[in-house]
Amino acid sequence: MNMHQADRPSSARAATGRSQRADLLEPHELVALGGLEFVARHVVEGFIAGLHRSPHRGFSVEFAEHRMYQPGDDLRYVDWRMYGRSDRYYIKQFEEETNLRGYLLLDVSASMAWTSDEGVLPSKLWYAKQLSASLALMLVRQGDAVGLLTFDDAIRSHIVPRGGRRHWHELLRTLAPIEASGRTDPGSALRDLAGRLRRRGLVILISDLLVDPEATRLALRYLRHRGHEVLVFHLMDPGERELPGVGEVRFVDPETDEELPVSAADVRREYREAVAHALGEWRRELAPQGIEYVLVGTEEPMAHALRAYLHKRERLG
Amino acid sequence: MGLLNPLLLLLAGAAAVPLLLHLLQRHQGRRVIFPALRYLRRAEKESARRIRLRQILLMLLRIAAVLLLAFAAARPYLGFGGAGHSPTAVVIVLDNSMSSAALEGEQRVIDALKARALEALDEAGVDDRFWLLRAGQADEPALMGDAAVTAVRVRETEPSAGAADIGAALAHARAILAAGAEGRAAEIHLLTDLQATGFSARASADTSAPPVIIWHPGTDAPANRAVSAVEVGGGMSPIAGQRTTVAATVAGTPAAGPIDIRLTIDNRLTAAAAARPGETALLSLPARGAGVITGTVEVDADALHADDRRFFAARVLPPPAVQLTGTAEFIADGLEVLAEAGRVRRVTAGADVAILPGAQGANGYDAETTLVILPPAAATELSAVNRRMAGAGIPWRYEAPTTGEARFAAEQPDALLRGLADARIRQLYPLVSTADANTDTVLVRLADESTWAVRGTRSVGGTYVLLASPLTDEASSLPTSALMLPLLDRLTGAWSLALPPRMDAVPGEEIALTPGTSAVERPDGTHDDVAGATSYRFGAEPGIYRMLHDDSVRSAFAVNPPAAESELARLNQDELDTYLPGWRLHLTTGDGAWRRAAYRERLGRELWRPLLLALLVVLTVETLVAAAGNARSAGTHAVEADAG
Repeated sequence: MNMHQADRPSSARAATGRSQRADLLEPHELVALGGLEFVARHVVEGFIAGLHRSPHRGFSVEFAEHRMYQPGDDLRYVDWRMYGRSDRYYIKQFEEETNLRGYLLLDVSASMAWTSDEGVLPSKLWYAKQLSASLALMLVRQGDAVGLLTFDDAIRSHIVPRGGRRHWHELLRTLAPIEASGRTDPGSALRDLAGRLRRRGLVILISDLLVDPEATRLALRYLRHRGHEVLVFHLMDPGERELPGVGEVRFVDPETDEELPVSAADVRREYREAVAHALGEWRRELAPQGIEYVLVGTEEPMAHALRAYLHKRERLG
Repeated sequence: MGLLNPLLLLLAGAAAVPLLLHLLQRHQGRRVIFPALRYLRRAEKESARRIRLRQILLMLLRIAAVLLLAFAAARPYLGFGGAGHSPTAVVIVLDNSMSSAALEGEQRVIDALKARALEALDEAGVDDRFWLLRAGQADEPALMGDAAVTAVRVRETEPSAGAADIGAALAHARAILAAGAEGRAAEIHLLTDLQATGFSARASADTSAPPVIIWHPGTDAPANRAVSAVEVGGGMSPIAGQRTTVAATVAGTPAAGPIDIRLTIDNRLTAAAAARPGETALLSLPARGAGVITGTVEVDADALHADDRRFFAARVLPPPAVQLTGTAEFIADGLEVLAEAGRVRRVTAGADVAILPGAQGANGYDAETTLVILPPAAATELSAVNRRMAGAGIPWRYEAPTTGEARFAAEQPDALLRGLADARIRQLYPLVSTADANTDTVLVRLADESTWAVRGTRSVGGTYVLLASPLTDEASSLPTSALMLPLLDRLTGAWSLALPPRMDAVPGEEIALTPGTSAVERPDGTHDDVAGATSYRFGAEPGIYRMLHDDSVRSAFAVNPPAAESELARLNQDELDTYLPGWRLHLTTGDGAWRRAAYRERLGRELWRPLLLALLVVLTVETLVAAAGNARSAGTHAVEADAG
């Protein structure tokens, strides 16, 4: 058993044993399930199924209009009465569905490809792609429009927000082949995005935040200033919380190839303190701006992140 | 301090390993891809100073550990305070001169010296080498051996009757060590009473000389009294049937009172007197028949018994029949006085001794008569004199006289002749040998080494004695000096009879034997066969040594310790440095100081135990310092606490 398995929360293990809800499975178990779509669908379904038994169930959205059925739409939202009258399939659209535009900002820089336990623990990018797909599905299922922007030190791909299943599949097709590369500069990506967004929406940043914090926070504050809701998922491999290795080690930044020789034992405590300080700083700096900051360990089930999203979504009404 | 395994000190070079590791370590660590370098950089920046100090401390501790290990492996030892020592070649100079027999309290000095020597030998190692030099027996070679053999010899050593020449002994010891140390440490153990007379001459050395560890009693010399000199008949041979005197000179502590002196002849007390140190007492010697007389002069026993008795020997002669030819005013007057004193008989024929100024009638005497020939009063007779001498079978001739003032040599064989130092020779007829190989005996030399008196045997048989100056007041100052009568007595007596010039010697001295001597009877009555030998070395035992021709005593020698040995005054440190300049002297007294000083290259207490203890302490500290760093890294999981 490796360190991460050992550190796995007992509650999660218990959940794994209790049910087959994919949102409660640990990432290494999700990897074995299948591809992006399959996993995202099961995660979201599992999560929603859980919600029905939770105090947070129900979307509390109001009907606004109908639109023509399109393949991939959830059959639960087909208006059977309209079908009886018109012999056509119509989908009920709700007020909120058209009010929220979700923007998924996915960090695909080289650091995202890293995992501390190759072959067991998925990389941050895998987790980010899975989370993105799941969040997109949730948004779509809620009738929201969802767009995708991938970036490293520049924008790599951009899909404008739209609703519907087909759009979700398009997102999946975009997400699936993404490989991590390049350096990270979310500041410029966020500023670029801010220039493109004409309607206010929910901006969800998924990144390991190994970035220039001041520039990134400034960009996030700018988005917030433009009226967007901002949710930050800080992905962290458990191996980044604790400095690995013993003795003299030359640590190499995968993005810059910069080497830093240190005696791991000598700086382990300071490293732990530096990590704690950085995380606390993110939280302290973002909270006053109304920016939701969620630390997500890549060893954690997806439910934790989805719950944070849902919590945010509920507050948005 | 020294090292038993100095080569292992090369291990100290391994001290470079921690240093190199320290310098290279940061560039040779494992390469790990790690994206969170941002946090790591901050952590490294915050702890850089502490880490650097800790790593330097660790490096120093590790270097210290390596050095301590290498030093301990080399097995260092202190140069003092220990029981062992590095292999050492030691020359033990044991001063067993006569003064070492002196009693100090209940113990003889020699016993204290031997005890110290044995202490040093007890501490000897198997690789040590020893030579024993008994300074009181100068004729004895150095005795080499291991510690056990040398200890036996030391125990057997007894005071000799001779004097020590410490400077010569040290020079000898140094030469021995230079040739025989064979890579060992070298040192000289000098065990002596520091008697001042043992340091008669300066003996210098350079810094390469081995150290000299000296033990001495450290006390004042004991009071001593001795008979320092005995003279029979005032320097002239006793005449048979005549009373004479024995002059005994007393030496010793000046403040001492009168000392009883006893004269013993043939084991019978003959006379007694009293004298203070520095005084000479005259003891009456009754008339004796012709022959050799021997005896002793004694004083009461004191701290040093060996010099309380002094032996003497003298020859009692019948008055010789002397004939004087020609006119020699001063000689005739002198002979008249000697005749009145009964020391000669004046004759006109049948003389034992014929005194022939200008060799008048030299060829008219048979072999029974000794010819005493003096130069002519005038140089014009020189060729005639030389012809007469040649005709008488004398292989010498006189050269033309030289004028000026000549002196006698300072070195003379006896007290009488040493009196010649004040005389002046104004007319000298140089004596030149005409023989190819001259074996004649030169009796007196001048300061310029030229011959003034010589004795030989004529080719036709019989003895001759030649003088290089006439005994006239124009030719020398002798006729008008007090020496004239003793000189005439010697001329007609000992010189003419071919008697040995003296009858005393010191232990170990070598003398020329009179032809015909077959044996020497030692003081203990044993005989040394000397037939055919030309010289004889006296033993260490004082006493009377009799020279035998077949079974008859021809002459005798009184062998006595050197008078100077009775002067027990001792040197102090400053005086010692003056006499032994350049030597590395370590003066000790008392038991403990000697034990500490002997064997300069001491293997004191080995230091590997404390060094290993220090190494353990260093390694413990190193472990603690290293563990402190690990403990920091294994501290509470602040990340989770803060992040949660």
